[in-house]
Amino acid sequence: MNDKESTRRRLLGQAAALPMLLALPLLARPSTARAGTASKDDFHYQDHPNEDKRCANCVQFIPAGDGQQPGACKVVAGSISPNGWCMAFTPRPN
Amino acid sequence: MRYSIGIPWRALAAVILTCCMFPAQAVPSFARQAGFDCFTCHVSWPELTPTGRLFKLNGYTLGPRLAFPVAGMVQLSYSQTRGAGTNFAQNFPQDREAVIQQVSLFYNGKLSDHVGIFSQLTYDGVEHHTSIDNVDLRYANHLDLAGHDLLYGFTLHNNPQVQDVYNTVSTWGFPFASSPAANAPAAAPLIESLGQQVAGMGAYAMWRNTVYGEVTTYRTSNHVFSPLRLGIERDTAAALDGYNPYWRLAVQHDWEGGKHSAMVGTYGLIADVFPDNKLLTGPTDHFRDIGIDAQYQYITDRHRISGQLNYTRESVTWNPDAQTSNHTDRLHAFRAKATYYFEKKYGVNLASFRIHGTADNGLYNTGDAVTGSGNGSPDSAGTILEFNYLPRRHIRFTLQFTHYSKFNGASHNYDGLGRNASANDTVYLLGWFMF
Repeated sequence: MNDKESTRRRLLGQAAALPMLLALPLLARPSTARAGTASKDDFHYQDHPNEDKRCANCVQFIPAGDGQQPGACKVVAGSISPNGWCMAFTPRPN
Repeated sequence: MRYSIGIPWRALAAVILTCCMFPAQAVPSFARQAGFDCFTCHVSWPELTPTGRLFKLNGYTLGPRLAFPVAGMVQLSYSQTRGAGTNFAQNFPQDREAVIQQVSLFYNGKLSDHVGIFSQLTYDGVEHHTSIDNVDLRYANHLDLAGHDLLYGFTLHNNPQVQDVYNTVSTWGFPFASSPAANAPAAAPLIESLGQQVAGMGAYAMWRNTVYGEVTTYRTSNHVFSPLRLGIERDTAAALDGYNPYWRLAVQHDWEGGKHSAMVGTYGLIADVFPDNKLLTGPTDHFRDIGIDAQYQYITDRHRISGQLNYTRESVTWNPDAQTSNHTDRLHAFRAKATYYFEKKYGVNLASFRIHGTADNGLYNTGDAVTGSGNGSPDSAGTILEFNYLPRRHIRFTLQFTHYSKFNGASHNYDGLGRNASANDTVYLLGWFMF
């Protein structure tokens, strides 16, 4: 095997790794929204609003199924008050 | 040939603007996954907020997994260097020309509950070359340690400090973009010079969102690690002897719900580098880089202020056959940067940098005009003033001024052929589009 062939094989081998990596998530369906795993303390979660910002108005908030408090969050783990707040607050688009 | 002639600028602009019509943020696939606004994770991209740091430390896994976690980036730029004679034009032919600086494809997102990836493939419009850019594959999880959260993880990456979460380090530090068609100081610490050339495997932990520690080893990216330098030939990448240790320690504190955050830290890399990239045997050059850094951020919806300091000291012992003038050399690199953004739209960055070290004719006095050093000194110093305007959240226009008070060893006649440091002063205009 000459140097040129060796180089070509190396490059082909490297190039094959990329599509394999790209295909990884396609092997599974995208996951649906579910409660997050991050720590409440890390995100400075509090049970009361920050000015007019509250979890009920955040895109990450998952309301309780029966409409009762509390709900959950796609980012932060644990039960989440609709009147709570954390630093990942992202308002729902109007 | 002037590079601008062959570029279908109107078609390119139309494609970019069309892509930018879709809602998108900093690395947009991350934003789509997490449901975050780009300024939740970024002071102004790419500088990370406390939320952005946590997103990264959690292994890019916050939020649901996307089926197609792909994003794109285009950088178009124009730069003009003050002193542009014949010698300069030979080295930097694209000065005073509009260039497609970079086109990147990102594959970024959550792969499973605890595994995520940042990866980037980049077309370099100046070198006309496509290759892998930064890669950071992570596993992250949490432990309850004596009633307190311990966030821990593992990382596989291809650039020292690309795994870091602070914008003090070179990889994610200021300037976030600079001219590809301008001169730059010859000397830089090794830790800033191994991007896309090595494989890093590390473990990290953050205790109570306060104490961060990391240990990583770097090795030559060959054999099974060769995809980490996809598109870059082995013999053009650095060759390291065995596994070379890197460590990182930082103490951080956020208060008032993350409105304020501060960090002080230190890091180090000890590496043995083969002098010839092609030969992974024989005597090596021994590098020891030790750094300290600090950062402060104040973040509100209306005002955003941040500052970073970084200092790296490098000690090198050259191999016995090295063509250097000294057996050992020292290098000191210092950077400071301050940022202010108003309503996440109008921003200014002011930075100062200084490189100082042992004069070594064998190393720095190459005899080259423009890029060389007549006195063999690595010393350079200067300031950068940058204005930013973001008409939309994922479009940035930058006007950057770089001034050198010292370049490759002197303020005047630094190359021994009559060129002054200030002749390398550069005006740089950048259009940066994410989609």
